[in-house]
Amino acid sequence: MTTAEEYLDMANQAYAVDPLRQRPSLMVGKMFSAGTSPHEQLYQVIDTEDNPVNGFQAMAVVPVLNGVPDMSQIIVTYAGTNPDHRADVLADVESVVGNQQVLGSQIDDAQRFADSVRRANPGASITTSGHSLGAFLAMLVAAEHRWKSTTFNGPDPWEKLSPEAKAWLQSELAAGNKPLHNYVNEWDLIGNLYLDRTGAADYVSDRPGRSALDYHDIGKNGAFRLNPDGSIAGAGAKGHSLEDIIGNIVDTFAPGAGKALGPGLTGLAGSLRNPTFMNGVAKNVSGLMVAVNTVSALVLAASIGSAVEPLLEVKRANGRIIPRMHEGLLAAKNAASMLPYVTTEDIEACIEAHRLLVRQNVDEEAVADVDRLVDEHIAKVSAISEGISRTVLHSLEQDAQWASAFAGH
Amino acid sequence: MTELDTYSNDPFEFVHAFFDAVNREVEMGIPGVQELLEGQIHGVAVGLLHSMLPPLVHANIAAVKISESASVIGNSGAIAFALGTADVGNSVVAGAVADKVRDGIDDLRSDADYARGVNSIAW
Repeated sequence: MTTAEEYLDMANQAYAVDPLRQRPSLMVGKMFSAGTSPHEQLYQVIDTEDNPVNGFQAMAVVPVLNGVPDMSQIIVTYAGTNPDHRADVLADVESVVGNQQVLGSQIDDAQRFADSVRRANPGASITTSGHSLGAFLAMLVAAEHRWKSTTFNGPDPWEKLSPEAKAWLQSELAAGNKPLHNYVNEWDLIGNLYLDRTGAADYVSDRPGRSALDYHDIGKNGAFRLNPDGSIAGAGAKGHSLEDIIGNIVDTFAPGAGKALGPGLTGLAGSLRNPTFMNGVAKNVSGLMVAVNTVSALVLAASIGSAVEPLLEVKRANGRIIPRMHEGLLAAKNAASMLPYVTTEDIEACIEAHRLLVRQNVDEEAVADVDRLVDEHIAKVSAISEGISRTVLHSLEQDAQWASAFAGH
Repeated sequence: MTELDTYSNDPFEFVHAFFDAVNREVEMGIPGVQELLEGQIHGVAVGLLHSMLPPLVHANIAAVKISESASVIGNSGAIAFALGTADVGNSVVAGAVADKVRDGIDDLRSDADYARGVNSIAW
């Protein structure tokens, strides 16, 4: 039985089909091992596809048993967006979905590749796998072909499934089966982007405070830890709302900012899951990619917004100066009044003689100036932070409108 | 100089003067002696007040200056870090928006002396 670890390794290997990721790229005939002993298995690549125009890559592999490729069980694995190129995801998205020739071709390519493998290997049992966008494609193709899939951090493809695939999935789920198994890190934005309507999600626990890409990427120190038996450690977790997930990512960069940006995050999550936004291939693909960039923009907002808390601390410290000095003077006067034969007039005279009054020991105007400065800065920081959040939401809305128009809805 | 210091070395004159002084004390009566004593004690107490009160007040002022300066300076650093590390090079925030963000940050950083209040506290 193929373990989750083997599927994870295969999903990772699929990226090697991209010559931009690995030279020479992973080609037909090449072998690689997946899993770890005692569950290590050798696999051979029997087919690949690389579309440099839309960035689609896929491979079909079979296990090598006793030195012979077992052509009866095939795993079709799709690559996601090249992790090395994710820094500029919006540009990638615009180049992918902004071209009508390319629009939707990742799904078309994925279906075509799967059909090609099936036709070449009649009777073989085929399963799919993939990571991220590759997982999205793997689940979609599996549902359309009534295959099983094991994927990682894939956004739910329900909206893109045909009515027949949806009906099949519903009947399988009603029968207690789970043909699609999508391991989703509980804090991964991409895997949690859409609601789990296919029933594929198997949330995997992780600790808060890691980077957004650590929750998403696979490989060493990535989104998933493994048990000795090759299963995914921490699977079966509860999952989180999209708002909480984005908030956690933002908090990674600026502790506490996620809470401060609460309304903005709710709006963002709402935009991402807006049905209009989800219709059409362009929206799914761009939604995936824009989300990552959106987070970095929100991180910028949060980063700037994180200045508010220390500003408030400055204001609090500044506000304590004069009251504390008054308290200290009063305490000293009370102590002095305990001296026998000392009168109130003596104490006041002493204070006057030694210039001990608060106003004689601090520039009260300077303290008030700092208060005003801090208030101004808090207002400016909030305005900048909110301005960025508004820009992000506006950008998402525009993207949704553009995608809607582009998809003819 | 005490009254006895003015007495002559002549034993006769000394005895006269001594009894004169005793007579004066008797004429003043007990309340007078008390006032004399209280006046002396009050002077001592006021001296003690002047030596005690200023250090107490100054110690508190120093404590306020030290602790609130630490808070203000520490948080000023956090503010500078937050604004200094904000990465505006992001494709969602671009063009006029990015310029506005940069200008806003520059503006915030140009007047960031939050320690004026604590610095004005006298040592």
